[in-house]
Amino acid sequence: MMPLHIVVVNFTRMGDLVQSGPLLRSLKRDRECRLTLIVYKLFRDVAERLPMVDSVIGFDVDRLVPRLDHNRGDLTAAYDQLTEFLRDARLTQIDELHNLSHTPQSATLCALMNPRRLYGMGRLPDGQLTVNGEWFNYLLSIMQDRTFNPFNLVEIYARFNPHGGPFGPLELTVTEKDHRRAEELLRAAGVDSRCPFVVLQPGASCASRMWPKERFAELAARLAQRGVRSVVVGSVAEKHLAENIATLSNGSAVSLAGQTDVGDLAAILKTALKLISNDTGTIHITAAVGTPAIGIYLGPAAAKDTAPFGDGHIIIEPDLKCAPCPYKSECQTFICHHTVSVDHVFELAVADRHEQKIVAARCRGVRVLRTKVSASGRLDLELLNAPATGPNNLHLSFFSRFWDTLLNEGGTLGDSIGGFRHDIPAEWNNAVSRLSAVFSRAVESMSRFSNDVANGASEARISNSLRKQVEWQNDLHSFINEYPGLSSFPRYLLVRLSTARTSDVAVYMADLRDTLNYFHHGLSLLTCSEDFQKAGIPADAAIA
Amino acid sequence: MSENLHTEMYIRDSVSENAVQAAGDLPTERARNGQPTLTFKGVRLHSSVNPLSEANDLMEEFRGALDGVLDAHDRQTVVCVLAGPGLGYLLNSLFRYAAECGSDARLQIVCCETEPEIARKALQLQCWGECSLPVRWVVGRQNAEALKLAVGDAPHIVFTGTAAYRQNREDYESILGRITGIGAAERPLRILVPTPLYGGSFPMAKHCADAFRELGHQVEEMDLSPYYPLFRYTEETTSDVRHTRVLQNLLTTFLAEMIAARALDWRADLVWAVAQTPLTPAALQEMRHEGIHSALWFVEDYRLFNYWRELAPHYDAVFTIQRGEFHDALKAIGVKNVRYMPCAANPKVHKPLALTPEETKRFGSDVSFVGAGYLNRQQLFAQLPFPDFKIWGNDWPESSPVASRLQENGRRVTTEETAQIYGASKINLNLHSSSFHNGINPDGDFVNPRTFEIAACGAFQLVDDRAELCELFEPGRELTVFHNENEIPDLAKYYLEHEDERKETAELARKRVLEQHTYLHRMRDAVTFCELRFRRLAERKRGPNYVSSLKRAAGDDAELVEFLSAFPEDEEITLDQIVSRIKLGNGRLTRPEGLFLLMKEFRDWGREKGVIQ
Repeated sequence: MMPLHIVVVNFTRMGDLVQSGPLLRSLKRDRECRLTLIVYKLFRDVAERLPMVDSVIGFDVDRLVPRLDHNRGDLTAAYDQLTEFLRDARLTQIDELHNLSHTPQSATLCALMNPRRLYGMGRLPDGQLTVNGEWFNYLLSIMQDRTFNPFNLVEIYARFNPHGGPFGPLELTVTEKDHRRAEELLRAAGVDSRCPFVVLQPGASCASRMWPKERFAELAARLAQRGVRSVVVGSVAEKHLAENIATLSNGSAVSLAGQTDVGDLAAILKTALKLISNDTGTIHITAAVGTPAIGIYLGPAAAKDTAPFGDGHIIIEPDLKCAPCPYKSECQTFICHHTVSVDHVFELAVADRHEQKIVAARCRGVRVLRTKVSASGRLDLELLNAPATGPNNLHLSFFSRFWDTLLNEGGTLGDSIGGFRHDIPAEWNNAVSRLSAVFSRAVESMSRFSNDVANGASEARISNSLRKQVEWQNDLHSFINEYPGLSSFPRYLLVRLSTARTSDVAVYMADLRDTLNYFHHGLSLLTCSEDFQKAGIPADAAIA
Repeated sequence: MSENLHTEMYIRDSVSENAVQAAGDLPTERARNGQPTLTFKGVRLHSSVNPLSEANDLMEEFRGALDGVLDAHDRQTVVCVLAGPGLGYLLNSLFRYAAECGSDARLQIVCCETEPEIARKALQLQCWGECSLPVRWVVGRQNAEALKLAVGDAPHIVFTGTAAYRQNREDYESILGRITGIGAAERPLRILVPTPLYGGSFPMAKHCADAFRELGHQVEEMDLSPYYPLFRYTEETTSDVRHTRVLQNLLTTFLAEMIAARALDWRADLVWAVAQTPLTPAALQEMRHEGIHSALWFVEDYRLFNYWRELAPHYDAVFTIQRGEFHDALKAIGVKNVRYMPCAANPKVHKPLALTPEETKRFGSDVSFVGAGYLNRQQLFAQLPFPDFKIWGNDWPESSPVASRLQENGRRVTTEETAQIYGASKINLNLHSSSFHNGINPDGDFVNPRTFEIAACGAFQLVDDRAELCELFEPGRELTVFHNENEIPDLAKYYLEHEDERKETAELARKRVLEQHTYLHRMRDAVTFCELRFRRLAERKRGPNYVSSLKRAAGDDAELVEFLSAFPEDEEITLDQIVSRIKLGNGRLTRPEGLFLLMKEFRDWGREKGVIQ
């Protein structure tokens, strides 16, 4: 029997690719199969180091997009390029195709590959967008607002496996050649790899996530006093930043920014004592090679979403009401950058594991978290100090079980989520009542719609019934604005509704009915009053 | 039907038939070797020396391209369209080619002649002898339909470059546009012109850029002359030639990468290099990989400058001012697309100027020369007995026997001053340079830019004979030629005494240049040559966003061709227009629809990221 041909499409960046490793490993578990991973060509090197991947195809988006420019484009060349791409022999006879990206273009590309089964976003034969897999719908819903998302990205990816099952740690292959080259780079920079050194990653995808370079420099100088050199890494674009830090640190730090490829970086990280970094892809590579990391999570970075998946990594977040901030925040003060002091990072960097809690307790103005992978595979974040603010872990814990119950196969109506003992404010009771009312209205609308169709009502009447469906969906939008603490569930419902098939009334009704079933199930989980009351959902959603 | 015309053998449409029958008769002329030739509206259509040999040379230019088309369409019929065949000497060359390479069974010839009188004469004389390939003649300026029918859907190649084609270029481009995309309106090419660092070819690159602009193309010049001082500095830095070479190679590599980076960023369709424009094989390959074509106009003596050996194979097309052995040598090293393209003048710069009395006094003389002090010039000029003989230009040694004639301390003369000197001088001496001969190079073949420039300035010149000269000008009528140094004093004396003849000759030469030898003519030729050979370039000019271009790219993708049939053939379409026709949820999404939808989605993503417009 031929091995199963599995293709995974993941048009994302370095860090997310590494974080998808456990999912890829779980897709192959207990099955004879060949796994092909399609990534942007720029990240091909990273993909090829995922040991569970059999074959990598790089999609040259940097070549394609300029060909689509309005003024200087070349449609013929673009068409040729795409046709050529799809002719790759590895893209034929695909048994399973998993689209981990959440964009229309990834959906269309996946559909063009004509797999036997498509999971994630795709297109129906008639071209309409569709999503196969409830966890994909969940991912789409949190793209708009991750505030109330309780899952680490690794966990979300892992839940994409339609066959379920446990998932393991992050992995990345580091070869002997990588180690030799890393050794050469370190030697050329004057760093003896046999002596302790740390790696600093001062860059990030945007300024709001970047701890000030002066602080990195001061940290390097203080570590040097302890006999620990600092090696600053980063991309070619970050070279100037890295060299700046090296200069400011009076030679305590050396820069290798722009000199390393993924293999070099991974080997250097594997040899290092630890990584001290902003929320970047490098932190996930560090976790994958088994080196401890200290993450400084500023701006919109949130430990609960993107902490490195593994045991014993430290995350420092600002202890501020506004942290983490929304993705499109227009904050110009970057006050959160100043709450994380050099002392905080230095003390945590030099502390042994058993000292970390003691050290963390002294850290004012920040939240200090330590990662731990539980027996069930969840990434728990242990709070090591007592900040004034922070995510409501009970809330997050409640919703992690809520979603697992709602979306995983095997969850049934009436399942309860117990174990919490807190009072719930009256307004949250009101919220759930309000949601129940929307549900009732939805059911009524649906019932009328079904009757109209069954009785062969006029086109005008059916149009009217269709409009009524939109009305209760608008109610969900309003609810989201009024009760952000409970917004994740209606967002999920709206995402499901957005991909309802509209080619045929009967098909549309079936999709609507399906979503209403989830609505019902979710509500029943929320209104199993004892459980929900005990969840301790805070009144002030801004605190979260 | 005239029994002399044999139209039943060659003509299949009534428009051509009627045109030929109604056409007047042209007088037959004879070339030096006795073969028939023809002059039409003042333009000689074939070589006055050996028309058949000229046709064979032209065939050699196209051979590589024809080989390529035959290879690409194995076992299919290929149609050779001869645009402006004149008396049809090219047919002989094609028959011979077909016999040599065994492609007789696959080749068909269509002669596209816009002038019925020429076609009539050709059919009358049948200089091609017995036909070994099917030949059809399509005659008339408006007979595009018949041409299209004659070519059909067969892969084809168009031969241009004849005098008849050049004479009626616009008509040919219009009629050929129906089958090739040339002349169809109109998306200009994006042509990057990086200049050499210094020397005579530097202004030539600028003239080329001007001409491309005048032709309506988008042009970006990269003036690399600011790097010349750095280049010279490498020579001053070390006396070790090896080190100098390393440094200069590094500089060339850097500049080549800059050119490639600019070409990629600006999305050039074509990179046009002249002589020693600093490009490297690596940079040329990088550009080719990205679909950017490159062309080199090698305006130097190939025997003296041999850098072409390393670089020419990496260019998509090479244009030369010499042919014959040089073309053989280029083909031997793998250059497929080679074309003879002589120097030229830029009438915007090289033109008659009105001079003030002071300027006339300063720049004028009985006899003058403007240029560098090569050995043969130093030697020959020293023997000339002209009392009023001015020499202008740099690189004349102080010890030269003609140093006393050097004007204004031998400083470098500007282009405008050069034109002033030409105009102010009664006789301009034009001796082609040589570092190895005394006086005249007896083997000199190419014609230097000065010949065209003096002529364009409306000035009179005495020029040494060159092998290619008689193909470009009519010696004795348009140009006065000397064959050895002894002829110069008598010729100069004669023309100093016969001002009217001097002026008449100069005027005829200027007329010839303006009609046939400007940069505009050359660059148009070059672009047409490139378009005919590089499908993608032609499609870009027509627009890769033209329905017909997309259909051609579709090849045997029947689904795509059918999808595109909904759009008008000769129109440019946008992605939004295409996608607007795709109805989601209404029947099965076809593969072409999916691909265009995908393109639009990536386009929208790119716009969101600010990468494209």
